[in-house]
Amino acid sequence: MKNRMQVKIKNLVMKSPLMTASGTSGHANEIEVLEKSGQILAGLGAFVTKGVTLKPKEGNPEFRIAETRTGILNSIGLQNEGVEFFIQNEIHHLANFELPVFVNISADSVEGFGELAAYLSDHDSAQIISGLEINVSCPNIKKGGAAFGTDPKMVEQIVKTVKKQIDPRLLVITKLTPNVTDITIPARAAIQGGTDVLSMINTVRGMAIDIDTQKPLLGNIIGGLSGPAIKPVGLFMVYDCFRSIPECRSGKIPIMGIGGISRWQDVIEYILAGASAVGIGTSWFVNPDVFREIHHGLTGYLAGKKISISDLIGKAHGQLAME
Amino acid sequence: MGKKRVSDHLSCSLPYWEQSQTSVLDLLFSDVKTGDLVLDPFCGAGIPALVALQQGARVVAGDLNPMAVLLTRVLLQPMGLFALREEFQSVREAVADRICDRYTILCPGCGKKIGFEQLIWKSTEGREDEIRPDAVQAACINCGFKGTERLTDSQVRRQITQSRTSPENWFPRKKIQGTGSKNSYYIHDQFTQRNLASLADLFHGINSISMKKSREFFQSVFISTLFQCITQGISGNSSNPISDAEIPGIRKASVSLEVNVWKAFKDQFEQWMQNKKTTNALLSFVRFSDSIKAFEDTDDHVTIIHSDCLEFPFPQRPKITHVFLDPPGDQAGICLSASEFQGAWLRKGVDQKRFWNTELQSIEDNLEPFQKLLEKIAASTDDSCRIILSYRASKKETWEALQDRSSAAGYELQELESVKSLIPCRKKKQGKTEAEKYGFLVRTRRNNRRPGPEPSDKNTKAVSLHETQFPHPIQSAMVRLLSEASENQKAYNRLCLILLETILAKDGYRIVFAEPNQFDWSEADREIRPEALHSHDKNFPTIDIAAEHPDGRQIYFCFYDPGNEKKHKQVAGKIFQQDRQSFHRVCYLIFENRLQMNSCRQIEWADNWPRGFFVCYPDLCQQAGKIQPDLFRDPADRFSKRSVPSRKQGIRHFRAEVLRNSPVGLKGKPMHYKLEFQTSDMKNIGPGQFVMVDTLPIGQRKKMDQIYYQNAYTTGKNQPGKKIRIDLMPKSYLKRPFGIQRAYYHCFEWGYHHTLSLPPVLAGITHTVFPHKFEIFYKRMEGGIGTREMTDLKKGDQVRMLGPLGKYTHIPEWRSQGISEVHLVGGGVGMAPLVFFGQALKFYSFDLKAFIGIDRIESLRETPYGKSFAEEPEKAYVYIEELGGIGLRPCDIYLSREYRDNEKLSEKIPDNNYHYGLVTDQYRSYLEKIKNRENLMIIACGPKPMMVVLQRIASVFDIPMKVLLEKRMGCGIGVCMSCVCRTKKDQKSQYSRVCVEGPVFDANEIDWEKL
Ligand SMILES: Cc1cc2nc3c(=O)[nH]c(=O)nc-3n(C[C@H](O)[C@H](O)[C@H](O)COP(=O)(O)O)c2cc1C
Repeated sequence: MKNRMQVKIKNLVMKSPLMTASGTSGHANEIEVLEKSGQILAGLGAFVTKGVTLKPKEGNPEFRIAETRTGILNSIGLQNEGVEFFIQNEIHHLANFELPVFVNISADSVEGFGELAAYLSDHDSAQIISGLEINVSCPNIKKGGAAFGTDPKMVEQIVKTVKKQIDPRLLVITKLTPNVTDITIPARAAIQGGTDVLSMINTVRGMAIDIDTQKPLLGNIIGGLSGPAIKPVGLFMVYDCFRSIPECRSGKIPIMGIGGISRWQDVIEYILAGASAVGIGTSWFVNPDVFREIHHGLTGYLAGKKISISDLIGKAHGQLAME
Repeated sequence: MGKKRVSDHLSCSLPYWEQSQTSVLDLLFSDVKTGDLVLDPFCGAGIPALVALQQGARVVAGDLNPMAVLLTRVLLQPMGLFALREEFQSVREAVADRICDRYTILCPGCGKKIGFEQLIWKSTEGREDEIRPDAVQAACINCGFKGTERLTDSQVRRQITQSRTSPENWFPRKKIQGTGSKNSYYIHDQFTQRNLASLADLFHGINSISMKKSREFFQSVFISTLFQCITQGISGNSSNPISDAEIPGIRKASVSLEVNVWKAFKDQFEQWMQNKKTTNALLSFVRFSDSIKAFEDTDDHVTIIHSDCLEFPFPQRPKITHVFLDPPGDQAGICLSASEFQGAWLRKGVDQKRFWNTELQSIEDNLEPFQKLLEKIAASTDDSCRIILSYRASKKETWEALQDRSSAAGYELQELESVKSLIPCRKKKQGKTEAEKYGFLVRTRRNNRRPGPEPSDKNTKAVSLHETQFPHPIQSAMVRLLSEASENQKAYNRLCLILLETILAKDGYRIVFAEPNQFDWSEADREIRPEALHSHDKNFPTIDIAAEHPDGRQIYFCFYDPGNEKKHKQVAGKIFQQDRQSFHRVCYLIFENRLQMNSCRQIEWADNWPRGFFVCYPDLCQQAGKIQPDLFRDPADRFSKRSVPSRKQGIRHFRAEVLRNSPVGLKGKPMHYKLEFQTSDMKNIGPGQFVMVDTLPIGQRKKMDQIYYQNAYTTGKNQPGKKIRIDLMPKSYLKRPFGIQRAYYHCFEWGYHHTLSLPPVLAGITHTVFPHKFEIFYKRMEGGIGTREMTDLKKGDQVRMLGPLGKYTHIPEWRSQGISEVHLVGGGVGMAPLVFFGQALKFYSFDLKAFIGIDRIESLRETPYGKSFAEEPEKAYVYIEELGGIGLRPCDIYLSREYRDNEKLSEKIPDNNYHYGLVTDQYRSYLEKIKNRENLMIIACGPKPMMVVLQRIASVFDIPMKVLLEKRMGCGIGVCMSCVCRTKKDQKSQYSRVCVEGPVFDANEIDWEKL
């Protein structure tokens, strides 16, 4: 029987368009503590790791999380043990998932990104990886992150450097920040730099203030907003890119839609807007069954309509998509 | 059996160890345990190393043959199967079509091009030395044709043409000394041109794979395909060796049946993937060192060395505990030689100037190195090191020669009969009539030999290799009982009795009765005499074992009998009737394994064993092993014949029903609430663990979603008359973490802990029915959304929870650290999770004292107001009541309050135990007063300043301390990294996640300066 959920990202065939969003499912086998992790993984088409940096990073001070209405603010600050630790101790767990793995990478300089890409390509264990997601959009770190993501020149340069250093077999995904006026500008820059795939969006900058202490609540002051609250933002950005960038419309540069997805209907919306795959992050903190539920909902919808996910990509654009 | 056996999974696809032998490995390595170091200098394809790793050992493996090193590495390395499949795809795209094309014909049925599986060659009439393709075996997927089809003349011509494809840069021209079949000098002699060409294509395709690890994997698949091709008769009857002159010209095909190489490879690949999946799962943890040095410096699991055994760098650290010698032998079993795979493929030539001679034909040639190797081992290991020689010796002289050399090196070589008897069934399968002589040998060091009796009874299956090393009579009895336990109930019962005796003796109990006809008494001349036990009360219910303490307390045991619940119910009921509240007589049910036990711990089963306790056989073994390690060494591993591994309960996302949610404290403005809920999904929750609670009931959460989405999708459309109410109150989004204050167990009424005092050693392995009801004590936060929503929960509401979360604290282990008394120090709501700690501690018979810090006593009062609480008549105080309930005496409860108020609790707590001020001050002055501060432990939970002060007090008085931290959380399972606290590791400060690394930390782990 045909797998209606199957999607293709460049050469990579994914059994489902659902992916984890970076930073929300850990580096490796953390989610296996859940008794139903098998069912979660069964619904996934790919796994995206938490951001990895060259050197270990201890992260931001407390508090790192605050709840908002239908969303959360986080300022984790990319806490991780560094790429070496990741390769030695964590990456091999991912082999068990039998899923394509995208490693989210972050650095505070262009060279840093290049070095990371080279390191991850050269290393033996890295053959588990199917691609790298360049994070030029983290709002929670002082240097790099979103500061890079808002500067098209920088984006282009980073993607170029990574592209040069990376094993050509690996996909390069560029994750864009929503904290810009026009998302298509950095998107075009990333394409110029040679990215294979675009993913959007990362978290939206925001903050919270504690009225008792009369001070900002988050240790880092700034946080990134995620969860259902940002879905309209992400949705439009995907739509905008698909609409205005010919490479996206022709399917040459697929888009991974991320931001606020919490039900299967949201996934369909993203696909219709032009995404080929979607990442789900915050929602599954709230509901660990979310992947299963969404997968279930999607299969029902597709079977009822007798269509596949790939038939729906960009459908919201009507004739435009056909051009 | 406890573990998956490697032999169950690995087929004989490997050119080294066959399946028949791997089962023996499990036995040979049965005493290998975590932390051991196994040296395997002839590692072959790595299966012995795999078995050792699976047992928890670290392994240094090596081989002279680069092929073996490659195969071992590939076998042991965890690998990305997904990536491999992708690579397979690319190899397929690159070469398979080309290869397949050489094995196609036109289908005689439908005329379409189809692949065939075998080509059959035949010699032409009149010219016996010329062989031509004659027929093929094929199956057509298009028309269903299946069978052997003679080739037409044109097809024959085509096949011959195809055969002429000459491979370039192909096999090395070095001679291969086949020790088995002497027919060919070169392995490639055994192939037709077509097969050679196909292999060359495949080989080049594989060599162009970019990722090293994948490439190695495919190379090893390639090699075993090759091996399979050779051994399974793709070829093989070239009657006369070809002279060098004829190579590399076109050779006559010497083959009658020729197999599709690509298909063979594909099948092999599938099989490897299957194996890899299994080994990946078994060895997902394995880390490699790339040198002995790195291996010594880290705690990596394995290192693989390409080296001659005599140049093999033995690790100095840690101590080598096992050496496994499996030198290559020839088929006839007359010499120590080399395997046929001498690295010819892949052009990894073998240096001839090695100590271990790979080319010679008789045993003498390698005896010298053999002795040298033993001497080297002797120099690098001590007496406790076990050496096993696995060698197939068919001739007596060979055997004797080995014996001579061994004693020259200071060892004694003995044949291990017991192992031999374990492989007979395999022989039949292989259809071999003559007995293969495998010599598995144990060596004893330096004439220090401790002779052990061979099992005298011929029918006894020897189970353990160690029988000869255990002179203790119980030990040899155990060995026999163990071998019979799985079939013979009486032997099993007797085994349990021996274990129980050991455990109970530690608690001061003595076995006073054992039902005579339930046990195997063959060894009864020693420890227990059935007659001596027979003095028991005749009217008593039918129990199997009874034990008694000098003070009169008794414990009864019955063996679980599936399907006989009625009997169990009667027995336990009767004892319960006689005993009631006093717990002077308790009864236990003994289970064979955890699985069985856990199924009886379900709440539905509880009535069948009223207020009874459970133990299971694996736990008995383990506990006995702790008490008498020399007698019951590694009991869990060795005596696990009857144990089934329990499936660990993971974290669940479940629904719970609210039973009660009542305010506590000041009338009119309650700040604290007690939430009681019921679920059957949280079986193994331990003290310190917590749950994440969705503060809105399920129905309301759903409705909220509905309203939200209806608004979003319908407001645009014109729907006059339909008003939608939007609730503007902020709603919670995340779940909230709460520690469990108390768990309720079906079979124990409130307060049972007063009288319950199980003997501590037995208590450490005692289980009861799973809890089904839980209690959370929480504070309503000013302006907090989640806790405010929670206060609205009503009886009957369903809420979603995630749990159990956090690290499991193994309390029985504290006893082995010498702890016997625990002080619970809690500030405010921080006391709540400590009560649950207390409950568990009391169960394991620890002494307890509690120090509670609160603002005013009134805030603890459970006042009967609020609708849901109206039926609760009496006045009660939180904590005080609970602590009393879990068995603390009033004098063990201390209370500090910051405000003087009018409440008096003198009937509950003695006046001396009151204090105005901080709980830390009270605790300090308590510590100053007491004399004996040994064997104490503090567990604390509360506001940060309290914990900081307490930590200082603990370090001044040098008392170990655990802290329970509470933090803002996002996910609860360690992925979001929100709930971090400052910890120290190797003097370095870092952030640790409270939800997975905690919430219980050792005070020494915390970085108190930066907390
Ligand atoms: C706790 C947390 C950690 C995150 N860490 C990363 C990260 O390391 N790298 C990254 O590119 N995005 C990170 N993100 C952003 C998410 O991947 C995602 O883009 C964002 O949360 C929006 O999706 P959602 O609304 O489905 O959560 C993080 C988000 C959260 C909530």
